[in-house]
Amino acid sequence: MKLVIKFNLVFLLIFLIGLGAAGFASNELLQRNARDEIVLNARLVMESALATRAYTSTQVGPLLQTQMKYTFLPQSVPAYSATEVFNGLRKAFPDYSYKEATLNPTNPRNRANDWEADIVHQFRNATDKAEVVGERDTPGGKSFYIARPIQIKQESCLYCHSTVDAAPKTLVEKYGPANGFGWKVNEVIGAQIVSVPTDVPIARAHAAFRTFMVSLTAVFGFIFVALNLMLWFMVIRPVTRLSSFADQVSQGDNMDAPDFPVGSRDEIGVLTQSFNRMKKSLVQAMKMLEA
Amino acid sequence: MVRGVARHTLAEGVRLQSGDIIEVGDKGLTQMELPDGAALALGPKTRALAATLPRGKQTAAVFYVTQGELKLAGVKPGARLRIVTPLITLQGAEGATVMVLGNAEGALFVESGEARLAAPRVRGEAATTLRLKSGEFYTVKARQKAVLATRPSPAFIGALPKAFLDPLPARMARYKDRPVRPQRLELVSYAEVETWLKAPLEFRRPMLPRFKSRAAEPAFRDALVANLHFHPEWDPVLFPEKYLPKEPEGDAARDAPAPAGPADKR
Repeated sequence: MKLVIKFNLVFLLIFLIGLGAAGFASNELLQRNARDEIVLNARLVMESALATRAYTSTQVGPLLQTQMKYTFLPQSVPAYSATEVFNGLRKAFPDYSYKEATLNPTNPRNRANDWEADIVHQFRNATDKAEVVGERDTPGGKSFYIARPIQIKQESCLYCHSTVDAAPKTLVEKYGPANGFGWKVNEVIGAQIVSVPTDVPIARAHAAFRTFMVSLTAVFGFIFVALNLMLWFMVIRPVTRLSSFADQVSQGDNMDAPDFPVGSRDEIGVLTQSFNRMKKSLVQAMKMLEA
Repeated sequence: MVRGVARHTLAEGVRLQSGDIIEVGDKGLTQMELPDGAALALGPKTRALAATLPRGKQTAAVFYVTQGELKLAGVKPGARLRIVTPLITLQGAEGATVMVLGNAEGALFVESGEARLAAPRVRGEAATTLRLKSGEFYTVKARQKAVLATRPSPAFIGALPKAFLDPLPARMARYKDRPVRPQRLELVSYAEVETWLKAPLEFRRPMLPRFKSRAAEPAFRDALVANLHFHPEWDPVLFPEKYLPKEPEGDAARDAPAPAGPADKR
């Protein structure tokens, strides 16, 4: 088997092993990064909603207290403001969603649907559970969600949600007496659920992986060609010529020919010099024998 | 603003005096603050007379408002304050109360605290005093029985200036040591004070000495004469000759020239 074939077989083996290892590692890394990005996005949305709720509760609500005596302003409700802020965000990111899914909501748009109600019941059955994460299929593709319980921790919440008679008249006037009442302290009444699409980050990870693998293959291909050319010009061709010259000398031809030209100072050059010395010694030995 | 017998420009910081008449422009908003912390805001097109302003704790603040929207806020318990309108008389209040006064109807909403008011007397019925609680809404139309509701109507809320839906901001401290003087303009015409000259007797009585000097102007006098049946107390001013002391019958006979009689013929 020729040296070049041996060399290329080894090279290809190394290339395939390297490409496979690099592909596996990079794919894992990119997928993990994509997952981390999804989770980070979901947590960012969740924290943003919580911040909006806190801002509404501590700063906006008190300013609207007087106006609330005339007309109920949902802008004073933390859940409403968080949802509205997120609805603004959805104009740019339509696949994201935030909902304060509630089993018995005052505002009908917050009513939990089937899968949301399941999450709320998980929290109601295990009140120490702080968070639920998961993935679900949606018409728009796979979606990752984070859910946190909405638990009534302050008596002040019951000002609007205990009984119809105790609730502000403006609230009853706006939403009616049917829903959003009968809540109790420490009761889990719903869940904040943030959903973010997983397809986009995963697709981005796949695209990055493909680009990486193609680039790596291209680099290997370039190295393959370059090494083969170097092998040809620096090793195989001079060795082949030297070998051919040696064959001629061994058959008694070219004994008077000048030395084989030393093209370089590397190992091939040293070999050529050694061969030329050996040829000279051989010529002298032959002359001594003929004499 | 009308102070004395002349119009004045009203600016923020002007200290009101008893008898000042405030007329708010079509898009204006005026707020009066009393020393005890109470504030009375007047909406666009509101006309009000500061009949009496408190001097110490003994004097009650009395306002007569003919039309427009007003918000009374920051009234402390025990504060002596009375707001009279053609249909509603607020005899006392605590907290915040809002009123909208139309041509022949009035509405009042107790935003917080309570309001005590004297309802207009319906023919055949005794005058009533109502004590309204926070959140209650009172409406009354001319010659009709008043209606009490638990919520203000959307029309009432819609008629209110936006600023009335929030707490009234206190501004008086800014002008505590910086009195602002109103700029005096022209003398008032009869038409400009006609509403006040035709007000209930309690409020129009002080108008007589106040605008007496204006009766010397022919146009003002002619208008007074033309509307005399609305303010008959002006009759002695306009026609003093009717009120000159009459001479006794006997004296008149004695002072009259003696008729020609037989003695003269002697």
